[in-house]
Amino acid sequence: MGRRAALLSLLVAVLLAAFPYSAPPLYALSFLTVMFMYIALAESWTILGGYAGYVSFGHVAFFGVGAYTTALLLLHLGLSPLITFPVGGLTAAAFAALVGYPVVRLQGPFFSIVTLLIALLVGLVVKNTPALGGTTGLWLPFPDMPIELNRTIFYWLMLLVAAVTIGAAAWVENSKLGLGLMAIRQNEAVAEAAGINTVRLKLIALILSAGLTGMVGGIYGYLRSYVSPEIVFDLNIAVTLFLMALFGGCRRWPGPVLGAVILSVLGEFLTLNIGEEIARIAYGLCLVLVVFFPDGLIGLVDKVRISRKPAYKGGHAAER
Amino acid sequence: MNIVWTSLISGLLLGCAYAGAAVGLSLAMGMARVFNLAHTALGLVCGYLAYFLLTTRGIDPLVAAGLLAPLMFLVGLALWPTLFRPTVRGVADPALSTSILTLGLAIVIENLLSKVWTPNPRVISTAYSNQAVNLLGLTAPAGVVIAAGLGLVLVLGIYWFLNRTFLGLAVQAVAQNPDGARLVGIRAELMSMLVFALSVGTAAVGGVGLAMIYSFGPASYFDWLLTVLLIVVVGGAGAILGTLAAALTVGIVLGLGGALLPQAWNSLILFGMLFIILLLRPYGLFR
Repeated sequence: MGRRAALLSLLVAVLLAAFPYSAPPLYALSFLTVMFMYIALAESWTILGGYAGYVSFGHVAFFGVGAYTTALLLLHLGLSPLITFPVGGLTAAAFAALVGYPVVRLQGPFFSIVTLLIALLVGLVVKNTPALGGTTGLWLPFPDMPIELNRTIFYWLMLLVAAVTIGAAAWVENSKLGLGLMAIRQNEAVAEAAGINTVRLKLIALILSAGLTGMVGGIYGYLRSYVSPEIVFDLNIAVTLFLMALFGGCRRWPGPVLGAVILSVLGEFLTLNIGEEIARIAYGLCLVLVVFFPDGLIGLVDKVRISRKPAYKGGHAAER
Repeated sequence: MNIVWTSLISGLLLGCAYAGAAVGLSLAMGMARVFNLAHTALGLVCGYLAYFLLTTRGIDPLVAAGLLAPLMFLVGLALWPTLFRPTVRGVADPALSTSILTLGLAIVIENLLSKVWTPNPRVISTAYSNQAVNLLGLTAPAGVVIAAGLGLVLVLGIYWFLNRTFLGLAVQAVAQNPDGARLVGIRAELMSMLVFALSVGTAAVGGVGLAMIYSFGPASYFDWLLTVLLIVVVGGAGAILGTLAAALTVGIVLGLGGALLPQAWNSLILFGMLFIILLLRPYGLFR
C-alpha cells in the first residue's frame, strides 16, 4: 500500500468511527454495521478464494461455528461475546484445521462442493443436538441499556473487525504467503514444481480465512441476540459473501470492500423498494455478470487507470 | 420383510427417475466440461411448466415433457454462445468458472419461480398418479412408475446416441482429445454446444419426472441437485451406464433409508455419502 492510500484509509476509518457521535438514525447505524460485516466476510474469504483461487461455497460453516462458540460461552460461563469474539475466531480456525487437510487437496468445483457440504453437515448436526438448542436455537440476553448505545457498540465492533480483516488481507497480499497463494492460482502444478508446499500454504490460508470469518460470526450471533441453524448457517450468507468478493474483484484487497459496499447498498435498495426476491435475483445476475469481467470492478478500474496514463515513449514496457 | 421389498422396489424406481435427472449433468460434465449447478433448477422450471399446463390446460405431464424437451434444447442452444462459451473459453478450469456461473443462474431461477408461483409447495396429480401398479407382486403408484420409465428411456436413449450414432462418436472424440478431433475435421466448438444443449434438453425430462414423484417448491432444486451430484460423482462424469448404475444404488439407499431410519437421517446420509466420496474419489468410483 502506498503512503497516500494508507493515509486515506486511516482518514476514512477515523471518520467512520466518529459517525455515531453525529446522532444518526438507528437504521443508518444498523445498515452500516451489516455492511461492515459483509466487508469483513468478503475480505476474509478472499484470502483463500481470491488469492489462491480456491472458491469456497461454504464459508458460512466457520461463521456459524464462531457464532455458536460465543453464544455457548455467554450462556454457560457468562462471558460476553463483546470480549469473547476472538475465541469464536479461534474455534473456527481450529475447526478449519481439523477438516482442512483432506479438503484443500481437492481442486476446482470439487473443493467448492465439499465446502458447501461442510456447511450443510455442520448445520444438520447442530439442528439435531439438543445441547446446542436444536432447530429452535439459543436466545442471548443483552445487558439492559438504551438501544442507541447497543447499536453503537456493535457498529464499532464490526468496524474494528472489518479494519482488522482488511489489514490481514492487505498483509497477506504483500507477504511471501500471498505470493505463494497467487502462484497456486496461476498454475498449481508449476508452483509445486518450483518448490512451494502448496498444501501447507492452502491450509494456512484456509485457517486464517476461517478464523477471521468465525470472529465475525461470534459478533453476529450477539447482534441478532439469537443463534439458530437457519440464521448462522444460512447459505444465502455463504453465497452473498463470495459474490461480493468476486464482483468487487478478489485479486486485490480493495476489491471485496468495493463489492460489499456496492452490493449492500443495491441489495438494501431493492429489498426496501421492490422486494427480497428481486434483490436475490439481482445478486444472482451479478454472479452471472462476473463471467464477463473475472477481475471484478477493481479490475475494470485498474484497466481504465492504466489506459489513461500517457503512453511511455521509451523502448521498455510501461511500468504499472 | 415386506417393507424392505417395497422400499427396495420404490428405491429402484426412484433411482431410474433420478438417473433421468442426472444423465444430462453427467453428459455436460464429461463431454463439454460444464459443471452445471443449474441443471436441476432448469428441470424444476419444466416441472412448474408441466404443473401449469396440467392445471390450466389439462395437458398430461408426459405430453408436457415431450413438448418441453425440444424447447429446453433450444434454450440450451441459446445459452451456449451467450453465457457458456465466454465462461469456458480461455479459462484454466472451465468446470470451476461454469459452476460459479450456473450457481448464479440457479439463484435467479429459484427466485423467479418463487415470484411467479409463490413459495407454496405444488403437486402434479393426474387421474392415474396414485393408482396402484402391480410389479412382481408388489405395488407402486403409477406416477412413480411412469417417471421411472421416463428416466430409463432417456438414459438408454442418450447411451444409444453417444455410442451408435456418428454425431455421438464425434462428441466423444472431442471430449477425449479436442485437438485430435479438430484435425480429423470435427467442429469441436459445435459439438460442445450440441452436447450442452442436449443436456439442457434432458433436464426437462428429468425435472418433469421428479416433479411427478415429489411435491416441489422453488427451493426443491437444491436437494435434487445434491442427489444428482452424488449420482454423477459415483458414476463418473460422462459414463452413461455408470450414471444409471449409480442412480439405482443411490435410489436403493435412499429408499431403504427413508423406510427404516428417521426422517432427519435422510439428509445426513445424502450429504455424508457425497462428502466422503468427493474426498476419496472425486473423479468417480470406477476410474
